[in-house]
Amino acid sequence: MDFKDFSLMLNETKVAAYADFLAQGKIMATRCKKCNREYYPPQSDCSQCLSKEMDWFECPAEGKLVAFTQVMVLPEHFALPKPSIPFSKAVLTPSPVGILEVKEGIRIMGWIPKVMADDLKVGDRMKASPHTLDDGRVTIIFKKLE
Amino acid sequence: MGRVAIVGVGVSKFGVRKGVSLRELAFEAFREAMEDAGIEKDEIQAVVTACASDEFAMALQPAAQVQDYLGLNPKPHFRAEAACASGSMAVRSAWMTIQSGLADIVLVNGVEKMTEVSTARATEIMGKGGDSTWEYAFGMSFPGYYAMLATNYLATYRESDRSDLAKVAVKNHYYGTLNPKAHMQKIVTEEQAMSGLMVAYPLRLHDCSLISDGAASIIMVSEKVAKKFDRPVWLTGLGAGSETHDIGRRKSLTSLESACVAAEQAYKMAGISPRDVDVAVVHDCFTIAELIAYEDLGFCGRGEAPMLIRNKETYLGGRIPVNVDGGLKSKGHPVGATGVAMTAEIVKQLRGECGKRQVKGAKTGLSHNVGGSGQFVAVHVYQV
Repeated sequence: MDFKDFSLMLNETKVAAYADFLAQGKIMATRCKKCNREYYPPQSDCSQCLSKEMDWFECPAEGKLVAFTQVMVLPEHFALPKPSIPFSKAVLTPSPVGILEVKEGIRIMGWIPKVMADDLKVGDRMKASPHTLDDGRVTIIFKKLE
Repeated sequence: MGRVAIVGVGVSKFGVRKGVSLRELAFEAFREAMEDAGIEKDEIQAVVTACASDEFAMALQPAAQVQDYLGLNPKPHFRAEAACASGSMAVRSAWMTIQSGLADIVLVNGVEKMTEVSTARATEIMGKGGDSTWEYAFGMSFPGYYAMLATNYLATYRESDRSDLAKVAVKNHYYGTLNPKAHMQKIVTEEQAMSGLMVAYPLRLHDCSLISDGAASIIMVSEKVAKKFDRPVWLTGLGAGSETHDIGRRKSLTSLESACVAAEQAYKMAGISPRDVDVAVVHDCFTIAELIAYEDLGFCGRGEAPMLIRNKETYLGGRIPVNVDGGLKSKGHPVGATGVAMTAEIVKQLRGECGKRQVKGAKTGLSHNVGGSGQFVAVHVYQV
């Protein structure tokens, strides 16, 4: 288990290529060759018609924000360790997280950096893109479209 | 097919139960349920124990600990797990066990000991209540999922605002003070609820249920056996449903489809409509969840839940009293115990034993128990 740096955790899965695509700058989903049902997050099996014949396709990048939050009380994985300086307090301001609808049935989750939740509204137009973190891992971020 | 009745209930004190183990908590509720039913231990034919998390229990087989400590070997038993709906699924399993003819007298336990781990660790365990691969990676906590529902709800129904969430906290904290078993016995004002620590925007401290230790037990029996008891409460309607694991895949973020289908089944089976419900306990793990429950259960129309709480229709004396035991909000939410405790509360209401929080003359009750952010839902209807 290695979630620490806010990147996606994708090791043992048939859709591990998702992470490679992400590194190439593409957010990919899968579509069933038989019944055309689309899946995001991607699946290697079709829950609708039980087929295993799937195609990858690139998700549209732009969409509208359908929901968001800013998780201030963090899970242990994401929380800061206690500061080593006595009498001090570490203050962490996490980024908001949102769900962006880029087309009907495709909703992407991502970080919304450099803003606070108060700056956001459901319905905001945003663009999703893969983002490489300092340690080389890749995640997804949204930016507001003006 | 005969009916199934509940003839004994017991609930431990909920709270931070320092110095009490999981199995000891279970025993507190079990002893009370046995005394309430007035049966001998040997009469129990089968057991279902709800416990949601190995990680809280720090044991692979918490049900076996409970079974052994309660002295129930070699009776058949198993553990029911459906996240925060584990307790209601255990009740449902006991109903099936009785209706199949396998047993006439079944004990249902629900137990969780959550406070032995740190808040950050508990937040992590609960955070994986969402999709641990695709969503948890974005730092999602359990409040985070309901916060997403809240931002969508408040944007969809524009006349609603955050003060409607605060009003749910105010109500449930008030009723918690009337429940001696509740974790918190403290009034919260709307101002306090509006300004508490931000947990996951827009949900603040008082929008969130409590991390608690607690247990509940009930005795369920077949109609044949129920005749020997003075005050059986009949479980007349059962409904259950499921919902996408990924919150991003939901068609609606203002409703839980799983709760809607569960409610429809339960009403149909009991032959009642939402109007017939005299008292309800609903899954207010977060204040927004209680508002959504009003609508999913048909207590009001879509978008009307804020009006219901503003007009105090869910208070005692209102159109449909909801969570007058304090709800998960102030009673506490020891995950595996919650659904069983909900059943115990409704049984006491229908027997007229709730004292200051009694809904006068209640004949029909309902419990609504949600696992995860809707991945599991069970709705039960009870009648006397």
